[in-house]
Amino acid sequence: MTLAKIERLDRLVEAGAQARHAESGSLWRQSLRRMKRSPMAISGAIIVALFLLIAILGPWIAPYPATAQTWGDEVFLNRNVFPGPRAENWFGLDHLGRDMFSRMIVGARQTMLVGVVATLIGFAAGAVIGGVAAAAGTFGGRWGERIEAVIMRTVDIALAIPMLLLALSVAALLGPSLSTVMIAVGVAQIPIFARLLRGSMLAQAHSDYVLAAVSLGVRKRRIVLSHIFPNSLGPVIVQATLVLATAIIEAAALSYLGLGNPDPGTPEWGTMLADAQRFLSGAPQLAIYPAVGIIVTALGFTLLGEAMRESLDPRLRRQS
Amino acid sequence: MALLEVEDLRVSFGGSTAVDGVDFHVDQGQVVGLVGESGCGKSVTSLAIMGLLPRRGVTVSGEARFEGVDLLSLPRGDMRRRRGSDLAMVFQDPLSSLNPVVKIGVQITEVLERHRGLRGGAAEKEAEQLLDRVGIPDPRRRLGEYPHQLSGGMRQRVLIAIAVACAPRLLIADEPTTALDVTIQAQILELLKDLVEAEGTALLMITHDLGVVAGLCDEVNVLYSGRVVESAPARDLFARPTHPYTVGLLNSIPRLDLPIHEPLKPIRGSIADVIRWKDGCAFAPRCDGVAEKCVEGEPPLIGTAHAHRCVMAEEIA
Amino acid sequence: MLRYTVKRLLQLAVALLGLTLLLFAWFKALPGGPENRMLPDNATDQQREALRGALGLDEPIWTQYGEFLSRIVRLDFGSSLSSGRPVATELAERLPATIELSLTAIAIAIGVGIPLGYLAARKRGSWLDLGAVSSSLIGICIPVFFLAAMLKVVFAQNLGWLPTAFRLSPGTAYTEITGLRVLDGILTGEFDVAWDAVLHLVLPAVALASIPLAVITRITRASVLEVVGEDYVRTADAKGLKPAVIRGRHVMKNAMLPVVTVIGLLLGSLFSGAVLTESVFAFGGVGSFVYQATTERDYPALMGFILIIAVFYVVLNLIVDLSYGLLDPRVRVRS
Repeated sequence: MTLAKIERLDRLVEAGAQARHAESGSLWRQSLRRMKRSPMAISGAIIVALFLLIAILGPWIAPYPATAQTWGDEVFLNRNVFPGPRAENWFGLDHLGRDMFSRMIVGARQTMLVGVVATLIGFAAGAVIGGVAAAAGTFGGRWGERIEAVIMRTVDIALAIPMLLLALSVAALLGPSLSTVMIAVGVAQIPIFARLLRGSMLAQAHSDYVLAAVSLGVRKRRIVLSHIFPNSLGPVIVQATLVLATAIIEAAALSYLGLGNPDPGTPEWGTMLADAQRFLSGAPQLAIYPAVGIIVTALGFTLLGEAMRESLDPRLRRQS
Repeated sequence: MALLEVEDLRVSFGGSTAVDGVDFHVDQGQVVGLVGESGCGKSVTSLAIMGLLPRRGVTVSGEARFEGVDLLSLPRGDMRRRRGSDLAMVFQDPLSSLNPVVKIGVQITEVLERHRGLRGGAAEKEAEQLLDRVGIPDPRRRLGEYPHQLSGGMRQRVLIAIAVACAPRLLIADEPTTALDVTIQAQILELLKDLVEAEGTALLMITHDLGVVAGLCDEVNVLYSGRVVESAPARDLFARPTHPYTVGLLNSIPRLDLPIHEPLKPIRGSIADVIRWKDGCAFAPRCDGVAEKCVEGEPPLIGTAHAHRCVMAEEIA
Repeated sequence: MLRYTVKRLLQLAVALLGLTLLLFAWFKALPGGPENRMLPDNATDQQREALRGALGLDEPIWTQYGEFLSRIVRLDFGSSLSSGRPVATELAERLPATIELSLTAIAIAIGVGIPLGYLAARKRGSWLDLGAVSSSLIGICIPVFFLAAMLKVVFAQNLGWLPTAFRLSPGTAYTEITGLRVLDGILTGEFDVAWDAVLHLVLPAVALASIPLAVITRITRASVLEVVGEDYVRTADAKGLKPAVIRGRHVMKNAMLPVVTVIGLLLGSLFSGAVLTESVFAFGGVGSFVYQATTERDYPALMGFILIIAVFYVVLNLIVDLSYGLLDPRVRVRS
């Protein structure tokens, strides 16, 4: 074959290969690529990014201070007079004469805090519990298995109990405040993460690469920490994103039940929504703004989480 | 007239072509092998014939004439009536091919109910006999069991029983033994051979294992990159392999009678090193005897009883 | 199957014991101490000491726990601070309302969710599918109490199509058999009462059903999509079976397994939702009782209440777990 013909052959191989473009790369890189193409992921990411932006920049971009009852004299509760949207106040006023738009913007920060802290508490504690259970069960011998069983049965019970009850019990211990709500919601999420991480780690523990590592004599602690744990994080991260969405909502519910911050000074969407319940017939906008804020934010995180879950699913990986 | 005549079958999924002009035929009572590596399109061919390819995102063209009737252009209802009764299929993975939450007995009787109108006790009796026929001990008990309670070999026997329940004239077996232990493989193949001879059923055997082909098939079609590259009676194929791909396949099989330190001879390159059939011979990038005329357009089929697609065949031999 | 059940029951018993321990610890940890909660603020130290003695609070902790357990076994959960009546009685009176509401809500969620999820899966990519997926995504993101309140404002207060609160119109006479107003009305032939009860159920049940409906739709859709791609469905197709048979015996029977699991998991959240919904509609069920007890800091009521509900849900979960064994034969072998 002449050089020219070899080159022609190569070009033909290329043409043939184009029909079989194989996806390569690590799991994370593949999933990121897939997510860039998914409208769900993109919309979720946009919403979340917007939310985080507003939350971080809050006080600097709000037109007025969120706690200043500047227009208090223009609000008449008994006559249901609430100045609505106008030039100075884009979202109108709330029941104490504060600018709703500013409160919404500044409130994003507290709301984000609530969501993040609650999720972190659940994630961290749950991961530790689930991780210990899984490690004990896999490597701890007979005692390890018993410990795992005890831990998991307790987690199962905690899972069976309605979230609100768990949160109520915690809140009763701590007294009403925003931190209480955060902690209560966080604690209620612990069983979910514990169960999830333990299941995930168990699935990894039974996979072939772990068997290979064990047979090569790699120390158990190293296997658990450097191999099993990182690989089990995928579904847990997905769950964390989804939990963040619902944490904000559950926090709002607890505020509605009177367990939240009794002083409605610092704005937080959940508390704002709960407080606005009494004005629903007269001034629904007081509730609708924070409600829409919560719904859209929760939706954003949910979309992102779902998109992540789909992209990390190994079954959906294309075969070359 | 051949029982099954496949002519210029082409299947593509979106942009990529899986089957690129396949021709072969199966006569009554014949055992025909469809051989090739993974990805060559043999499974897709069988699915296309059975009408089991998804409707969306798949383009199918060509003809698959069963007793003169083109299956590919039949309305879905008609094809559904023929599946399971005129022609039937056995798949590769016996565990995942059985419904895990339905009893074995029901999975057999439902075919009998559908195509032969048997009900209740009559259907059960027949199911029991079928299980016995495929060599399952204590068939009565098995009827009430679930798939996970059976071993791999037994599950495959059940699937075979289901396939032959309505005495199909053509049985398609897609790698029926690949997922099984070697000793069980032999038993299953014996069973298939048995059934086929007893009922006069034609068998289309899809496999990548030349050993299976040697023991079972009358005719063999070798598939590469979606097209048949060689087609011959089994004896002839093994005695006088003509297409370099076939030669390569046969040479790559480790043999007991060669000296111990003799290195194995794989086919160089991989199945991804292809060119499109319309540009030339798809095997060209991997072929040691490649020449200019190999890449000058579609290689034609040469020969009749023993046919192949290698324009360089005489010179290489 | 029997061994599996027995084993689970034993584990349950142990776990419940652990639960009582946790609750005891919780009660002890509540701020103020029980004797303070039961006395007016200006009580003297002597009075507190006396009460502590009377309540047995100066005894060793084991004895206290023992007392605690024995009271629970006798179903003595103390009395509500606000009403003075035994907690158990208060709960028993309100339970039927919550049951009726929850049953209706879950019936709506299942009755609409499963067919919708199935259709969305079969017609993947269609407008129906898109609509189902988006509405179910949004459904989980709407706070239940807000939805309930908005439904009330729009349909009850502004449009006047449905009643705003309670289980029956005020002043309606009714005969009580099971405590479920609709059922009782039908059983006693008082159809007007039954209809009135139905009208009062609509809004709260729809609000309560929103999240379960969304979840069930999504899980059904995902499950059906997954099952449809399985090999055994291909086998069923290869057998030439009628579409209805494939749908029922092969697709749905397998697709429903995760859905049942999810329904089991939803029962707990149904309760949370009930608490919120009942408070909006003054439905008079267990939920509104919790709401009141929480806002009034009625700790004895809350504690007894939490214990009962916790036990109830743990047992319920066990039942769902066991029924899963009935549906999926593979589970029975594993223990």
